[in-house]
Amino acid sequence: MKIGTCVRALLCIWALLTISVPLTVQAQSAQGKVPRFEPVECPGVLRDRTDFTCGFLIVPEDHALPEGKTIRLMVATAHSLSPEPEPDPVVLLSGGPGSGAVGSMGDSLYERTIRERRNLIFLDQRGTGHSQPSLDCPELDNLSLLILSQPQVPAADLIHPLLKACRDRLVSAGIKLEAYTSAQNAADVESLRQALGYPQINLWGGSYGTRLALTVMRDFPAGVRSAVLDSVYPPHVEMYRDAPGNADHTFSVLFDRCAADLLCNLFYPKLRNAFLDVYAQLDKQPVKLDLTIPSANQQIDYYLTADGFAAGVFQFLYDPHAIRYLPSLIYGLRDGDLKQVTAAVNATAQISNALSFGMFFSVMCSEEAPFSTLDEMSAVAQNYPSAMQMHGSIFSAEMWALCQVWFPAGITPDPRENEVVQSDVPALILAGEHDPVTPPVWGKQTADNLSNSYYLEFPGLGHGVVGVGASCPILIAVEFVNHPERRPSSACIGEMRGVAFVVTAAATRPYAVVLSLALGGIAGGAVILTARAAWTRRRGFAWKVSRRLVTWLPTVTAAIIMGLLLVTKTEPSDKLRIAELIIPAALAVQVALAVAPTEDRTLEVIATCPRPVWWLPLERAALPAAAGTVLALGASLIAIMIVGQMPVRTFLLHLLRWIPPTLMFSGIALYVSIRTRQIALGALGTFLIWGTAAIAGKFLLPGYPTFFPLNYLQPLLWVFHPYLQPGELTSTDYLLNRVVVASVGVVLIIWIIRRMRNTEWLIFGNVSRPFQANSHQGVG
Amino acid sequence: MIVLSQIVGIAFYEFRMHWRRRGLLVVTLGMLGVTLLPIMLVRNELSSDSLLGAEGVQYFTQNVIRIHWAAVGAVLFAVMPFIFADAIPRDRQIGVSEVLHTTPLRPLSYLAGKTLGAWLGTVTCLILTVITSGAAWWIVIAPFDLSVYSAIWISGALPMALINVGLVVLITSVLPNSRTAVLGCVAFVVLLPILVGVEGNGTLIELLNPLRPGLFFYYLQQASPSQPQTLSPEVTILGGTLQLIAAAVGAWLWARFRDGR
Repeated sequence: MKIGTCVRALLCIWALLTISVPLTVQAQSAQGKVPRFEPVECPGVLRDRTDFTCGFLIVPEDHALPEGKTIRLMVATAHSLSPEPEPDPVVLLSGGPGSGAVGSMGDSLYERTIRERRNLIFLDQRGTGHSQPSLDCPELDNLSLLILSQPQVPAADLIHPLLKACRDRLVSAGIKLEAYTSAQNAADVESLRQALGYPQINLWGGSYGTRLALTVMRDFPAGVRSAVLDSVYPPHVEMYRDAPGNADHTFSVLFDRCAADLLCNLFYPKLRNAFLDVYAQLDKQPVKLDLTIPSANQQIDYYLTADGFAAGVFQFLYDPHAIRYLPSLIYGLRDGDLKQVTAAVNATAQISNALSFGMFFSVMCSEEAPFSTLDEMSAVAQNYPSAMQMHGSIFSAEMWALCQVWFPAGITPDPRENEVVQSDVPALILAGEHDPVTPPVWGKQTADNLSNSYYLEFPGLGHGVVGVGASCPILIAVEFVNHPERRPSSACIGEMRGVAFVVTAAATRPYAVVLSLALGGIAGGAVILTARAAWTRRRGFAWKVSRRLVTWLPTVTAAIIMGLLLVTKTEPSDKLRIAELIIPAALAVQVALAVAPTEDRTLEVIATCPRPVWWLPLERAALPAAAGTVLALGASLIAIMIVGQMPVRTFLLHLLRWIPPTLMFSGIALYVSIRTRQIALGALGTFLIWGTAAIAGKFLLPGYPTFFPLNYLQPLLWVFHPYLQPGELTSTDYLLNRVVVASVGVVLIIWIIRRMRNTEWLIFGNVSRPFQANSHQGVG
Repeated sequence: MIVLSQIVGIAFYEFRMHWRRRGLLVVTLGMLGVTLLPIMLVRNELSSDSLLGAEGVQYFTQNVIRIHWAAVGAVLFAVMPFIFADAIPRDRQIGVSEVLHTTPLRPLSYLAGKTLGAWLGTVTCLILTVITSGAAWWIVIAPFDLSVYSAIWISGALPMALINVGLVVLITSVLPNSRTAVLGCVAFVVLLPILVGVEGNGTLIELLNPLRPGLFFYYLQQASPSQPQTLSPEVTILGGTLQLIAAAVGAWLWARFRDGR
């Protein structure tokens, strides 16, 4: 399969230009004054919301022909939470071009924060979302699956006829594709302001929405009070021509940030070299990935090429959560570990795009492609390493061809769409340092031409900084909207830490191997020596006495709980986890109660006996352990039979799931009980650790979002996770984890048993030392 | 007056014993841990300042209730009883009871002093936690509605702690040693909720659940409405108080007739 073509197609449709609904309602003739607003019931999930009102904004399809056909744009107003809202609402301009705003709204923090003082208006730009007509292209909906499932067909051959079909359908429906431009879009925004009767509005744009906001500021400055521009895509830049330079810059930022990060630099040193190595390897020999497409129930052999790899890295840089995985992904590929990259490509193939492609191509083919030539792009691309060139050269060429499909007769571009926008409207410009598609330098250039603007760059963020959960940019932006006349406080940027790169288990495997060998060796040796000693003096055990002293309440409780859970739990995975969760806790509580120096009044007598004192915990723990084992095996077998999995392998896996945590918790219980001489603390401490591990153990997994400074320890903690699940890491790492978890328990047991050999300490506790000292003084 | 001074003396003795045995320290650190850890976990997502105003206060208050109360409730339900479970059995085990038998101390005064001592430790722990974690939330995350915060501690955490700790002290007073007391506590904390229903069902039987569903879910409900049906907080507190009285009478009768005092 030609991966380059796949990559081109994927890039064309989703990736590079994701500067981010029913079809063909006939455009209507003018019926009365335009622009005008007609209230309607809110669509979709907004229907039952009392804090929203919706309506259609009726505007000319071509604002140059106000008497011509009209189109209907969906508008949803989220009313302010204030009883006396400010007179100037915020109008949200989404990206794409081609993204709808109404369908993507939610109750995010930034939306609620804006609504605290102002109405928030969501506008489905012309051709998008619920607006009529829609320029959506359902013909392209399953494009990614189509490309992946027909590797023998060049991607271009698949895309072009589909795109042409979409275009022909829209044209035959009477839609004037040339009218779907940023200038017309901006006129719609002005019409919205007039129709709703606002003296001024605040613009809040993201990605392509910033270009639209800049166009409104250029064409209708009087109606704009302020503008928040998140990840700026200004008209004057050449997106395709600049793509190699942008890629080179953003990749360099990634490599530099990794080098500056303690863990990243330690486990993934010289990331740039690793990236280029992988690129060179793939250029020589693409690797085969086994993809599974659940929605299509298909298995696909996908060949990852050098360009596909670079495009994937580029795509990851959009999202700050995905950026975290890039060093491990690059190193994984370098070392031949395809699991992570397969999962990433699989996830990409599942993406369903809500973009209105008609609007996308109308804008990009009339405002971007005409201002560059293929020769210019190729010349610029030659200045950068080959790993960066693919963004420019392939993408540009492909886009050029697609634009010829969309506008076969060509189009006369508006020269203003390639000029710098100058304005004195107060503007706040936000940029993410890793943004690959609208790089920070574009934001700086834009700020230079806006006389009342403030430029802020956020560490660790990619494309779009207010919608990714970080509160700092939201607070700054809302403060700016409230007071556009002054510079917003940006102190919180200093507290942002940048990307916390994920160090995978594979990177720390050598440490895990050493640890498991050391602990496993100690534990194994101790078990062998103990078993040998116990066997040779086996008649010294007092099983009958121990049986009477052991309290069986925890075992009985465990049996009841497991029985109830087996009956009531519906999920198969839950049933399989029952023994794993219950038995370790029950046995640990029993072990905690097994020996308490202050409980056993006969300890002094026992200490004088020829048999070792440390047989006491062994014989008292062995009986409940045997009972617990029977219980766990029974519950496991029943669960396996109910779930209907392959018995032998699942059963062996079950043993690995509950025996190591049982040993670990028992070790902790025995240690705490004897060391503190308080069985309550032993039981309680074990109970707490067990509960924490069961509920929050995922924080020990590599990559799970955590907080400073735990993020620096996290890469080393997965080996201690008692409830690591088999699928969460590779089978090798899982086995290493099981060895360490079990060994920790055994080592703790051995440690405290050795301490018990000090019979004076055992009987008197830490009081024995001062007691002895005082005695000596007395004698003296 | 003499009785009062006896009760106060035993209460302070009990408090000091728990402090010396590090039980109070452990449970206080545990409480602080479960209330401060969420701050670290969510601070990047929730950090804010007064810009958010009333809406922000409401938002963060809900988070305080959801995260804070769930953790505190779990500790009060599952951890606190263990610390005080062996208050009386331990006296019996190490011979203190035998000494007390030779004094004119009445069983009721002894039980009252022991229970009050456990309560004193509980309240100390709660006060330290409420101040520290509240200040941490306020400084690290954002200001929140103090009246709601106070309410969950005064009318939620405090009654739950007093009822559970008092019940455990009184019920385990009939047990011979620490080991059986801890086992009794395991039965109280683990077995009892299973037998009467983990979540509560809105009937009187839920009053036996040490999680006190009527209190626990009442405050969670304010942040997330989808909570199980339970009795009202007032009925839960009243029911818990009645159980306390019943347990006290039982323990007193046991001490009076079984111990022959």
